[in-house]
Amino acid sequence: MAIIQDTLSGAIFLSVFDFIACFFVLYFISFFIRALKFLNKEPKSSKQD
Amino acid sequence: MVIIDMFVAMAKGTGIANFSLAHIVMICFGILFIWFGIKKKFEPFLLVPLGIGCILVNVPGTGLMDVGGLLHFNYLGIAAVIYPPLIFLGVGAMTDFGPLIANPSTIVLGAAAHLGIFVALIGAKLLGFDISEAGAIGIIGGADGPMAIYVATKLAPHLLGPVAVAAYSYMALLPLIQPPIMKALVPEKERMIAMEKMRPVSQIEKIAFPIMMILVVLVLLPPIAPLISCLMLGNLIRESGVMERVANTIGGVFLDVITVFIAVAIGSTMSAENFVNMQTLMIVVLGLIAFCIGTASGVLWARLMCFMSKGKINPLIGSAGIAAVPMAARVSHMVGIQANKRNYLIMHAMGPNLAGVLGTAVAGGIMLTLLGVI
Repeated sequence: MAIIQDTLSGAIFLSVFDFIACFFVLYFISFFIRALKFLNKEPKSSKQD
Repeated sequence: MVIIDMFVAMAKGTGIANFSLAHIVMICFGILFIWFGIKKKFEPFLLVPLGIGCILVNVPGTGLMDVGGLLHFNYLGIAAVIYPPLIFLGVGAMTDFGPLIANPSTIVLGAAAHLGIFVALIGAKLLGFDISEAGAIGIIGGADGPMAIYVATKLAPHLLGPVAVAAYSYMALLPLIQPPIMKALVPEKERMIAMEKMRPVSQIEKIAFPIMMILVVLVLLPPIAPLISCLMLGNLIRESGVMERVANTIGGVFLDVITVFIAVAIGSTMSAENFVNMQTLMIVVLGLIAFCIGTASGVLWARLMCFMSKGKINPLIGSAGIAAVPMAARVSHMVGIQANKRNYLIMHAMGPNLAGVLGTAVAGGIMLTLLGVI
């Protein structure tokens, strides 16, 4: 069932909500992408003098 | 008399008797598409078959688009949403997501460059389309052909033809549409900025990326599962390193063949009977407005990022935030190299370009959810 009404204000609401949500979702995904670099980390070998 | 009747009957059986001015106009459009593809080399894989499809369907009396006709079977590939996931499979297999993984901060450009979608959506509503139709028209601004077809099929199947034609035509004509906007909005000094080399991305990151994306995107937005899962499957086949032959085939020959099929199918929706009307004209104009505003908003957001990073980001990569992969990234590179011959922006622009694919998928997924399609 449609949550948004078929009116001009519905279209504006959908547009504003979708645009902002798009930013948030992509920004959220970017955190997961940033986390990928930790897969590269190699365990540091402890040095003994 | 019998002979004359025979000639009249024969003439009525040919296309000549049923030709109208609208058919001739559409055939001229078909020839124009082919000319752009061959002479100007604007995405010939799209424009040449699109033009042929347009010509074939506008010769009266062939019955090619009737139920059981050759073009009708081909059209089912888009109407039943078979071709778009296959295109995404091929795109995934040929795409290196390394630039996006190396520089995830540019991912927001994939959202910023989608402002056009929402301006076109509101514009369509103002012009009298219902909200589902407006959503289908707006998604043209994502510059993602398969996603436009997918969303239009779900929201307004009767508008599939004009929406797909507008999306694919403007994608092919990006080298004409984007540069004037980019040059108008970015001063010469900023166009010359050479970006720092990106960090190398390891194979383990590239393998983990599609698996992670399938989980994250599909958990958040299940309506776009068919497209994103195919995109990421193709990418995993590529990055796994153990299916090189399959990756080369689906990212090469297979993708080219499906592109030809999809372009012929889109061209075959351009019949004079369905296409020459005010509604189509409005959709085509709204699509162009969406592309222009998307380009402008992407560039302006990238200028903001340039300012925030103290000149480390070339604002030209912002226009690549619309999803046309890799055409939009190529345009960023082309305009960048005109300002500074040592400026190789292509890989930097691929980050926002790939983010644009995700951005269109997210925008479309949210739209489908809110408009009650799932």
